[in-house]
Amino acid sequence: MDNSGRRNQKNYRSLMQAMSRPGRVFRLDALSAVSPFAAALAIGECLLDPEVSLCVIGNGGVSTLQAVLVGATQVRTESLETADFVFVCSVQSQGGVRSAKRGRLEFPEEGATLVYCMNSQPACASDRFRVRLTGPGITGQGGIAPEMRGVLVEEFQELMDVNADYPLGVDAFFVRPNGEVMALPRSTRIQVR
Amino acid sequence: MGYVAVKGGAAAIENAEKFSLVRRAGGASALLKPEQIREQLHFAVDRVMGESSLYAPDLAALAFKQAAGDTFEAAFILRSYRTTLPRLGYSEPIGTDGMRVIRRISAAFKDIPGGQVLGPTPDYTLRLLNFELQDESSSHTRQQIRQLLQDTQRLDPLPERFPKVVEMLRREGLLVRHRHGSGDGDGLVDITRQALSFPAARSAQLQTLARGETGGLLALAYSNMRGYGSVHPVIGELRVGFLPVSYKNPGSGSVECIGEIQVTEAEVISRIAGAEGPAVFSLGYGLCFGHNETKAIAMAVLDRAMACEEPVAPSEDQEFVLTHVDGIESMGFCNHYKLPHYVTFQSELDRLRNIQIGQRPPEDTPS
Repeated sequence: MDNSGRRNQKNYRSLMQAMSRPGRVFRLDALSAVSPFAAALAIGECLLDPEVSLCVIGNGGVSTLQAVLVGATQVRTESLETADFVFVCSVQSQGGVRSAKRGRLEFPEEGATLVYCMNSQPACASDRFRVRLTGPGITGQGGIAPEMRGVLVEEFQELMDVNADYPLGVDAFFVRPNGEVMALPRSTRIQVR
Repeated sequence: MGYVAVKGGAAAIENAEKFSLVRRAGGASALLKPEQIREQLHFAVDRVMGESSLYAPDLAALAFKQAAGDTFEAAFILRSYRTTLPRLGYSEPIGTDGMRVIRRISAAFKDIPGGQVLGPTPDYTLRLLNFELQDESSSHTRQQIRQLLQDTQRLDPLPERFPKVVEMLRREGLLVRHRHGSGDGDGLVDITRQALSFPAARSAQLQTLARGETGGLLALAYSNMRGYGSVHPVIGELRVGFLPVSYKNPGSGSVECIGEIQVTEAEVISRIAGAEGPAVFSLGYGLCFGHNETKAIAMAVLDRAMACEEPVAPSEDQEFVLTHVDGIESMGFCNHYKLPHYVTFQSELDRLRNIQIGQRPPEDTPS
């Protein structure tokens, strides 16, 4: 196995760990410091291939990130409503999460996976302590606050709404350029105070 | 009876994993190298590759080592690894008459075009323990191999292609085409991308059987052979050999050979019982990764059994067979019973106690 293959295996395991411990921050390995989308690409290399579909939305860098992901993985591009994976070039999906696939009761796994590509530093003071996460993989009935700073409370509310009909819903990763990654699977219950 | 919390035990769980290491590697013997497993325990490696549906001898050997020889676990590990890999493309269809054969026999005809090639097999040896292997001399074994290879150099080389035996029957019009299931569409079904549904297309049927667990396939096929079914198979041809894998270069458009895989292929012939019209034979087909003749034959018998119009025996029922032959699914279901069922069992226990003391369970009591 070449170095790239080993890195992908290691990062895949980190993504699994992140999904197993919602709200905790893990770190992806061996990222290129050159590209601002290196961390997003690291996730793409683990999860994307020509068999699945991708939609990139957001404020800036959409076409660049899409070109990077398609070039590296040959993933198909589709509309937001039908894409298996949605990469959000922003801290906020601007309501896009509501249009993403949530699966069917017979096949809930068809729900989309969202990857929020966050900024290096949160622009504003974090109000993450208004958010409580509980559910599988989170110790204690009181839950935890999400470890990653800078995720907008409004986005937590959006995720709370689209995952209200569990097992239908979406799974989400939040990733920073330095490789920090946090996951919120649809099984996580979100409360906003 | 109160609620029984499922808490604690994290340290014990971590230690259980460590103790597994002691069980595997705590002895005095030298640690196994994956290459030794790949070369010397090749039947196990082939089985793991087949049941995980990933052709990767080195990784299958590694999985077998990690699982300490448990083929279920090893296949589970390798299939999990398979799911992490990107799917880069699809190989071109392969004609198995182009197989580089190392073994090829027919139980239907003594004289077949190209001849019978017995190849490497323990079929014709007595199943007696060979105590000489306890202290096997490396130099002696290598000398035996050298001698064998020298002797075979004097023989005529094998032909590059062997015609298919069943083609002789097909030319005579004695083979009926396989009855396709009603789930057959225009394209191939891939059960790793689409959940299995019934009636399943034959492509889904063959794929499920090809990655089925050898023992599971054998048990169901054996039930059919013994009389719980109507297949009386004759092995038209059994082949073991290497097939070239060709891939169409998306850039240049040219088809290139990117390697080869070892497979076992079985074609069993069985007469169609009670068929209207002229009496004909029908074919059952089996193909799996590596050298695994038992699996290929069992697969072919089940493929033929499931082609019957009105299933009577379990082995003829497509849904019954295909939902029970996957080793990882069945092993997982069996082993999930080891997980805590404290709450459900306490509920059952309460109910039983209430019944025994002549009381109806509280939830059944009218309010």
